[in-house]
Amino acid sequence: MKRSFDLNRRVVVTGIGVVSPIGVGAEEFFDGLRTARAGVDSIAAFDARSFPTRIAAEVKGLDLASVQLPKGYRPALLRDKKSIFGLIAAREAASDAFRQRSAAEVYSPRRLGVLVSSGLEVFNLEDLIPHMAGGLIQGSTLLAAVLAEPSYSYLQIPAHLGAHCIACELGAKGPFAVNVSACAAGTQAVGEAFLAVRDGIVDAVMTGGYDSMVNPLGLGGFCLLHAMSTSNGLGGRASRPFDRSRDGFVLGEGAGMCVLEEYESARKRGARIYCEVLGYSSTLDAYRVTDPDPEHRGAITAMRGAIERAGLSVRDIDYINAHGTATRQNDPAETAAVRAVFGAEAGRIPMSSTKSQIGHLIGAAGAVEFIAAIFALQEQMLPATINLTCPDPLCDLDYVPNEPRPAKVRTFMSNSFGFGGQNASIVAGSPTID
Amino acid sequence: MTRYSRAQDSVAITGAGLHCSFGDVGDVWMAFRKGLSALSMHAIPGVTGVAPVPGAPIGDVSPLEFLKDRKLVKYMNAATSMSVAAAGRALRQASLLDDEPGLGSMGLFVSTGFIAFDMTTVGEAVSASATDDQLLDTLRLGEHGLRRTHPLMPFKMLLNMPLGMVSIALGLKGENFILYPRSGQSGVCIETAVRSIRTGRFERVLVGGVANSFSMLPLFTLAREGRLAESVEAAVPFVKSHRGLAPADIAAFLVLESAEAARARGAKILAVVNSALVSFCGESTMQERYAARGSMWVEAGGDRPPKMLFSSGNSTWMEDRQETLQADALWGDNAPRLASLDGCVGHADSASLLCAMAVATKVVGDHEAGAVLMASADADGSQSVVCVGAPGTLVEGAS
Repeated sequence: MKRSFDLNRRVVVTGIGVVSPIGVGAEEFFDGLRTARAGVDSIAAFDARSFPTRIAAEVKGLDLASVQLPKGYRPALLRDKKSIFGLIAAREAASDAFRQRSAAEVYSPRRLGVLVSSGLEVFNLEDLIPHMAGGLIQGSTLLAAVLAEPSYSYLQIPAHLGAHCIACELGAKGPFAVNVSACAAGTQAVGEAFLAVRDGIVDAVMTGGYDSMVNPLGLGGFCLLHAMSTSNGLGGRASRPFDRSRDGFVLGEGAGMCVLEEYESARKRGARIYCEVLGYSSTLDAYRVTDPDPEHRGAITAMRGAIERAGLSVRDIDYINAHGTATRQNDPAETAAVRAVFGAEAGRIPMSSTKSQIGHLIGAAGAVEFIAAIFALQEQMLPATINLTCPDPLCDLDYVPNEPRPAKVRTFMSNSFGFGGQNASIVAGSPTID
Repeated sequence: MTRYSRAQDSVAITGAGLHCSFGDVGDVWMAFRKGLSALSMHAIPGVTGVAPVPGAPIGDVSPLEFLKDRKLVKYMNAATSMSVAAAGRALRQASLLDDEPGLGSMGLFVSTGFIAFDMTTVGEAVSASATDDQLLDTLRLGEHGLRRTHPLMPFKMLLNMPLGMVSIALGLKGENFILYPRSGQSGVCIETAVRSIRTGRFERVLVGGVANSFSMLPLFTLAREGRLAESVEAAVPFVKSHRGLAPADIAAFLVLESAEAARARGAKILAVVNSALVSFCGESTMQERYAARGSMWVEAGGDRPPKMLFSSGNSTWMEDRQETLQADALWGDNAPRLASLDGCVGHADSASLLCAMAVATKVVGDHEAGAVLMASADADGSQSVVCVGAPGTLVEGAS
């Protein structure tokens, strides 16, 4: 079949930005990875004492009120910290990629896209209270209150507000998308951004994700699912992927953003190149709402697909950034899936879970973890799986326990296996690879 | 803008399924031709003390027809139920419903609208957590509020559940994503689907959009933006009294596949997707937006004026007029008939463009000559344009 696309276009990462529980800014985040810093602690954002889970990995030391915000959306954004995280990370990534120039000066706005991920809308429960009577919502007063605040700052703050602000600031007029595929969203956003540049519909994309569910509704919802750790007394040691004593994931918050560009354009303008994105694949389990496929077929197919589309073999992968949530089900299932894909190579390839340090960032997880894998490539150092003192017998791979480790890393894979059965896998490497 | 070779990279529509007030695709097409409207005045679900608003709510939805495991129903809300129903219809029309291997490699791209929280559940939890001075006591929320909350509530709140449920209920396992919350996202789903087929990422894909728009939060969002119509009459597009949108509950799903693959398995080709374009004009003026739309029409449709142009998302006569002026400026006396389904089935942001595409398969089927353009814009500034042509425009033997 004759094709209209040049599928040989190469795609590289030229800018990164991070807001995370172990550091704000890419360099601080990298320092957090170097020093195996734990980001989990007792929840500070609100009084969570009566919740089954009272710990989370919150972003620390960031004065949201001091962040310069688009005037019209300021009231809303100040009530939706995840959007501010996204803006900060995107600004850092754009500054990193384009230096003193704006993105729209380097590329035609119509060739600039924004393809990001996020999570559930913020729903301010306290705004409902004045309008409740006898358990019913008094619509007239609530609607009046909503109309009195036209900037989306009352009751419900749309999750895509941050992405909208990012696109307006960048001056992007190309494709605009907000992926809400839960735990797989961040990896999917980066993967689809890669394909958009490769296929030639854009020359550069701001991609990544931002999320925070550390609020009463988000925490309460996940508590109802009984998927989170209740080891509240352990603080920074509570998130313990692959450990025999693990008891669930710990919520985290933050943002990770990357600028992806076509390689030749990036090279010609002297951009710093962090890595080249080589392959991406996503699948669905189509199994059950509450459980992943016990045979891990979706995860296996996604990993194999990403490697194949990267034009590589299993022997070429030097590091895997795991989904590694620390739930009872995920960790052995993921281990088995990696064994199925990599066979004899599985024992050689180190695989670590950044969630041990930063918790589960849900809609932003894949994006921040992709940047953690970039760290491995840039610094030739593997991020650790902290809190791994006694591995589950079913989890028998090299998880880089407790301390980061120097290693030769030319290529990496980053995996996300999400709630609802969505799986996503992405492969990247040093652009010097043939 | 995206550029495609129209002769070589043909993408066919082989299945179309809708779930809305009128029913399925044929029902909507019949209603549209007769000038019927599903819009009427309704109370807003879950709230008291607000005057009725115009819209087309769906009421109870039963996806049981397409559920092999009926226990899934307990996890489903209106959006996921509508999605399964519409997706099932599209797959059935494409003769793929029982094709397990085919479904296993089929892509699934979905756009979903603003979440419709179950306000009864949330309201009870909030009531249990309020202090005397009307503040939220999170201690009480954790102690009492959670106990009053149904344990299955999270499944009805997660934004990716329409995609997850369609996958689980119908067996799709391929490439996927779900986007949110407005019509621009459905444009991205369509553009990515078409491009993915043309680049060989997969042979076929189910593309869908769903919005449970007639519920409190989406309605209040429209009201906040000044885009909620006050009467059925005000919601009729392309008339001077047009002021506002009438929200609807709609799910629309299409099966897109390479024409080559469709022919190889003997599938009936309903229509051909010639082009799909997306853009973002976040902070542009109204004139700039419609000028950009005009450029997209030409880019998508080529030199010949289309036979018909479906528009969705215009909320005022001023916007309708801008669109009409663009069409006149481009095509003069040959300007196509401008139409909108917003006044027929209502407006469901993330589903309306796909709903128009589904109906377009009837338009091109009835009229051999000329393509049909669909255009949509949303309040965020995203615009999408899709060009659909008759099956007869496929060159025999061309892939």
